[in-house]
Amino acid sequence: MKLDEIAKLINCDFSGKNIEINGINTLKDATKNEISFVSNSKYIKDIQNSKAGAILVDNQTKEFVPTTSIPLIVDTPYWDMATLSKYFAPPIEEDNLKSALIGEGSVISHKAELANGVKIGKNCTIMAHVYIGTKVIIEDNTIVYPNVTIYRDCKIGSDCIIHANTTIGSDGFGFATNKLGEHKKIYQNGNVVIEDDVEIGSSTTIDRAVFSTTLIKKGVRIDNLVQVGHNCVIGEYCVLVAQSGISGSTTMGRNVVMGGQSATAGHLQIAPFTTMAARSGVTKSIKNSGKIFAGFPLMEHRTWLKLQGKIARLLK
Amino acid sequence: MLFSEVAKELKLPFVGEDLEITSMNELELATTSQLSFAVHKKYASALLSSKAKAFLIVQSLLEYLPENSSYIICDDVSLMMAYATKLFSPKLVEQQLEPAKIGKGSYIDSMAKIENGVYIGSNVTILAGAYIGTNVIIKDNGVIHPNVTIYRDSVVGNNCIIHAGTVIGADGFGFSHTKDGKHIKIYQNGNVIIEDDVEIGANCAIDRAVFNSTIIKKGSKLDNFIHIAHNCEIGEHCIFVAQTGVGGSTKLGNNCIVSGQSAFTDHIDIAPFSTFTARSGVTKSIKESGGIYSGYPLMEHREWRRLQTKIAKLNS
Repeated sequence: MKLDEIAKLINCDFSGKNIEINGINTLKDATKNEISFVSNSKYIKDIQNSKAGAILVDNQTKEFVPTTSIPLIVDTPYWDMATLSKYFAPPIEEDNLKSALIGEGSVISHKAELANGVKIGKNCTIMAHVYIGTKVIIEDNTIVYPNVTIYRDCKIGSDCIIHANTTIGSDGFGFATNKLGEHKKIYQNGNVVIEDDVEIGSSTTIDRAVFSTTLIKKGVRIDNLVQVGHNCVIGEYCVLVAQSGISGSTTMGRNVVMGGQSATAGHLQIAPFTTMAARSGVTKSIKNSGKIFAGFPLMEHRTWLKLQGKIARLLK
Repeated sequence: MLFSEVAKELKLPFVGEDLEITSMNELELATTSQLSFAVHKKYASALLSSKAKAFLIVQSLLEYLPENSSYIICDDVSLMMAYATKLFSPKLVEQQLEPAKIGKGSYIDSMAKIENGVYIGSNVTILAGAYIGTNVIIKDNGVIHPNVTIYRDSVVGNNCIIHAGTVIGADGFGFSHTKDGKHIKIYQNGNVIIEDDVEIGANCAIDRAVFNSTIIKKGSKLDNFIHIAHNCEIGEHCIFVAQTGVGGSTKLGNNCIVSGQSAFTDHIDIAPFSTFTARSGVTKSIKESGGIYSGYPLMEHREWRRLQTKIAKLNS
């Protein structure tokens, strides 16, 4: 889409070349054919280094736009980005693609649905009522149990096991809100990538990224009813026990263990080899690796045990 | 069904005129053709002003019965009510109804199942493995992702997006109990109404009402794993973050924000513009709007922070 069409959609002017824009991305990741946005003054640093072809800014932040980017000055950059996201959303299915390619030895139930453009590797098992969306790639030896849904553009590695009713690649939970309190959908145009040797339990959900990728690295084990938000990165060999929830954009190092019903806030960094006991509530990044935590608010497990002892004594 | 037939099924005598009964309802909402029930003294005034003409009632409440009513005296009204709900529960599938009406521009995947009596508006997309039950109405422009189940009689408004694996209209969790501890199903004969511009994440559960409707009002957005119990009313433009649950008959005003892993007990009313931080456990109604709350037991967010600081000091 040309920049002048974009400007028209959100009612603003611009001066500069009428460049072709083929996507939206963050200030950090945007390329010269992408448009980015400044939602918050804390991203001012990222504006100056952005390689985006155009940037949605408001009056306060326009001065930071580098000369290589074209500023689009609006009152509500985040809301306007949400408006634009719809125009870059791919169709749910694409009829013009080739029908699915299926590797040798793979067994696909005739009650499963494979959209066009799908590639399935060798020796996979895809069971009844599974839905595999447009352009999904599943590598060798992977088993997908009944009623699993995999949305378009997701990638699943080899030797994975995905249990029944799990949803991979559903839209991340992202909205812009106006002064009236109405919420506008930010179309989630990224995907989910699951590396090799990952096992995912039943009725778990892994949301697709708003831009780029939600990443589950190799050897991860995910239990039943786990929620992984958009743009998370789950490191190698992490274990997520049942009903735990990882909010958007949180990154985990390798071998992190999240106990049952534990949860993290969004945008955190969790050091490798961290263990969270059941029901932990993590609201801050963890910098030192190898520690065990518990409780909400979170504290070291040893401290938590001592504290529980003291609380128990309060009634005596 | 005639009231005499209801009495026969319950193996109890009836008193008064034999009326045609169409369905059941609670005292306040029952119409003249509905059967109602009075379990307890606290419903005496509701009983007096009820428009119903037929009742299941305990002996001790007879004096509050409106004039010219027909009634069945029961020792255990709630148990008899449960047995009676079965008599009024509709069939799961009604093949004699007309085939589904599907509007212009709508795409229904060949592996989706649409029951008879369904109405689907224009430009709706329904993907593989979705099940749309008898008499369901889906208005214009919606997307129903794969493996979504919508039980009979549910209504979905314009521009709604429902993600994979979500179940709308499953039976609310309602049972009456026998003296020897068995649980007798109360058939859930109501429905779910989802208004316009609502988005519901993956693997959510919105239960149907026992009588009347569970309602999600326009513009509300639900993340993954949201449980909304029977007879809830969720206001306009509310936000529910993942793994949150709302107990039966609870009402939320407009623009409430509920963070992850929070929960509400049943039968409470929450003022508009209330915000709940992660893991809030709400057990009482909230009358003033605009508050921010945390914790379980619930308290104002500021108080909760003070308390956590004090608890942390116990250890020092």
